[in-house]
Amino acid sequence: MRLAHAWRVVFALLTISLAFFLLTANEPDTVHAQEPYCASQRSAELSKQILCPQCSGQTIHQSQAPIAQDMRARVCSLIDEGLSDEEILDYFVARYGENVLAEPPKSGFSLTIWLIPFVAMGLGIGGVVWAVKVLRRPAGQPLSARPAASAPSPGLDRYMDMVDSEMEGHASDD
Amino acid sequence: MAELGQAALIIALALSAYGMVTPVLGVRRRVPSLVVSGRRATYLTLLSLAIATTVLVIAFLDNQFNIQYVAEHSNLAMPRIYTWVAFYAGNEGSLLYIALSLSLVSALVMWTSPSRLGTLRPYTNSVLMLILTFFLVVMITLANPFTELVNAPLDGQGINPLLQHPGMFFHPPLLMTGLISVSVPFALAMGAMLSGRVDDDWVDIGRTWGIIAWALLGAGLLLGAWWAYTILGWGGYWAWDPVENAALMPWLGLTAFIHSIMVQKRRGMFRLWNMVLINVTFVLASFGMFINRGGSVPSVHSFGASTLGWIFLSFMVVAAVASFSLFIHKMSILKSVESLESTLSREASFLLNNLLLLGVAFVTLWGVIFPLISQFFGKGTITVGQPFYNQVNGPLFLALIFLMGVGPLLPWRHGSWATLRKAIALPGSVAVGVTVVLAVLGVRQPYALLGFGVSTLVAVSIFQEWVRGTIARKRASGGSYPMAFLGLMSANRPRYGGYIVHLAIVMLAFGVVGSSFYDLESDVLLSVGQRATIGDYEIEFIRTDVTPFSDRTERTATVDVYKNGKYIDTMVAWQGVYPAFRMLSTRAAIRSTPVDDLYVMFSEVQPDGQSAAFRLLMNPLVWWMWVAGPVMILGTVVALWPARQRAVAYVTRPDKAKPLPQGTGG
Repeated sequence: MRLAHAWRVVFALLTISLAFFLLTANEPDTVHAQEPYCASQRSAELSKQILCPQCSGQTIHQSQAPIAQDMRARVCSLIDEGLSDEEILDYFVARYGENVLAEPPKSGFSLTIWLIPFVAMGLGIGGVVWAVKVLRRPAGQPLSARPAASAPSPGLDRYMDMVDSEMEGHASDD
Repeated sequence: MAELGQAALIIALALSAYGMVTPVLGVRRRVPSLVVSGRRATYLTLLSLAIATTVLVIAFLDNQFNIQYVAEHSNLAMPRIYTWVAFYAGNEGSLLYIALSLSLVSALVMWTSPSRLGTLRPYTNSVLMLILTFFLVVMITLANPFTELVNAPLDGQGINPLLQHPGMFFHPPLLMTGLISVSVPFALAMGAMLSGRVDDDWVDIGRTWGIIAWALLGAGLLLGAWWAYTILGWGGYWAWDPVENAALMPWLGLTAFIHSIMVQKRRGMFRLWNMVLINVTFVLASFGMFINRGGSVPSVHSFGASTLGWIFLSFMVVAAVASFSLFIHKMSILKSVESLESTLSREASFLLNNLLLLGVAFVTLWGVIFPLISQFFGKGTITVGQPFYNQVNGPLFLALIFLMGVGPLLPWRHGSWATLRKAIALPGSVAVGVTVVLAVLGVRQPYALLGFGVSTLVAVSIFQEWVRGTIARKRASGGSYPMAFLGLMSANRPRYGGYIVHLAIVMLAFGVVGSSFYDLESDVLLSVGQRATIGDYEIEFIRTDVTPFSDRTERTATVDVYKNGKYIDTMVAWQGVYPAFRMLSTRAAIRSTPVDDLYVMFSEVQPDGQSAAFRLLMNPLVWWMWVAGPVMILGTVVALWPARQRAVAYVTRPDKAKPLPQGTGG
């Protein structure tokens, strides 16, 4: 009964996470736009989705490299031409290849990157369920009756006391 | 001077090799003096590495450009204060710094560990010195900071301008020390398995050092975020860069470990699992050092890049194979005999916490290595950017924070739904109330709503525990409320220290949610006297100034800030041009308040200084993230503060020691 409850909570959480993952996946941010000389909130959001090809994993929004500045300017001019977000991203993909997208597409080979975490979490949950099953078995032997291997032998213990007194004796050297 | 440094390094190597062999030999052959001398060798490695470090620092201060490392990382124009940064700015120096840190923590752990740990100590000593020996061999043979140049240049190449920032005094050293301190709980775990002392002895000291490494690494990560926020100039603080990830993963592993070790302490369970966790964490930390050195994964942190990567990768593989072999060999003594009584219990919640933390660590690792995998399959280097991490790790973090609110309300062994319902009634309803109010006020992002709601749940449940505990304590022992509160804290330091840390994590979450979903940004071109608006703020461009220095030209832009039409402040954004590096270093002007940060950067000043491009950002709630740091440290100190009864236990110990018969010490 209790078990069922706990797992319902776990699965509810997982379902919620999955739902949010799907809901938020490609949701465009709708934030108030200002129209300064070039960049707007929209161009900033787009720049965050495009990687600078020469700046080791930084987006063109983060990078101060000349090529990133050029690409930011390009985003602005494409916005001015009236292209949609999708069309602008397509433009960059056509020019620099799919790797220019900060968010790997959820299709083709790149789909594996999105799926493996779910597979791993599934395996992890399986592992926890298994662990709970094993752990819930009634206790076997009491702690004291465990094989002697876990406790250091009394001989060694006495010997370590000797080590300690050796240290004590030369404490002034330390 | 270089010769002295060189000699100090070689002596340190000899000492650490000695300290690696003798403690184990002493235990195996039953020669106490060998164990003792191994421990002393450990203390002496610290001394000789301190000498090597001093030599290098003096070489920097003295501009000894005949030493290659000094010539490559400083110059005459460099402000003297950056000597300390230059010291670890490159590959060789950072290795020396790491070796110094490792020998310091090794000496500390050997010095402070109580003698009742028996043979656990010498084994741990050997493992620590084994790791130190590895570092020293690599440093001396492949990346020696004292290598001399045949023709000493007149001036050095100087230090990377990005590193000339106050954050650099603390962020890299803390992070490196944190990463290498993972060796201590790992070595203790190895020592526990080798000595067979896998119970209370290992649990106490493993937990203590696990928390210390956790706090160091956490502080290093947070300072790194702060550095990125103030100097990298895109207004963010965390970019899921491979090197950031490399430090985050062991931190997540340690977080899991310091929780699940409590289960072993309280219930004697998870004994196998804790060993697995600390092994995994150490492997992740080695992986972090590999990423730092390797450059096989694209990253912005190329300061220490070198070809040493593959050596560190081999080290990681060897460490993983060795530690897991030992683990499998010792599995029989690690079996838990206690059983889980209920899935609705503290132990079960820790199991879930471990699953989620390792889930985040796995997702992060997967993102870091995916470019290599895609390359392997001939698909080109597919770089994994922030959206992936945010979308996949976001929900996991959210679940973790939720668990942080519920888990501590569950009792050990078994709880009941009725008591949980009672305990969660207040925090739950406040959280729901806050969420509804925020939704009414116009917060529409589902993540943000959930994030704020869940954070509220945690914060309220912590305060509820504090208030209830204080009232109960005052009723029991009288006195004032503040005294009762302090008494409560000191009665169970691990628990209440943990709560303080949880509160810091909530503050962090608060800042992350606020700044991720409600940041405003605007790029504007302004002439002197013109104004631009961002959020509630309005800024007016006042003037630019140019100041030439020997190594750089500084440019500043001054703006006046208005809020709701009223003048409130004047801010100065900064920019340094370093001709020697052909580099531009920027420092944003940041006006931080608990509500929001106004962040002003400029670029592209026209030659007449009359107009410039500005990037304005308004980042809500970021302030809370930086305040979380000290709170986290406070919580850690409270949790680790030695309990009184422990001190008594130490004092009584020497009575048991028997005097050593003369002559057996040879």
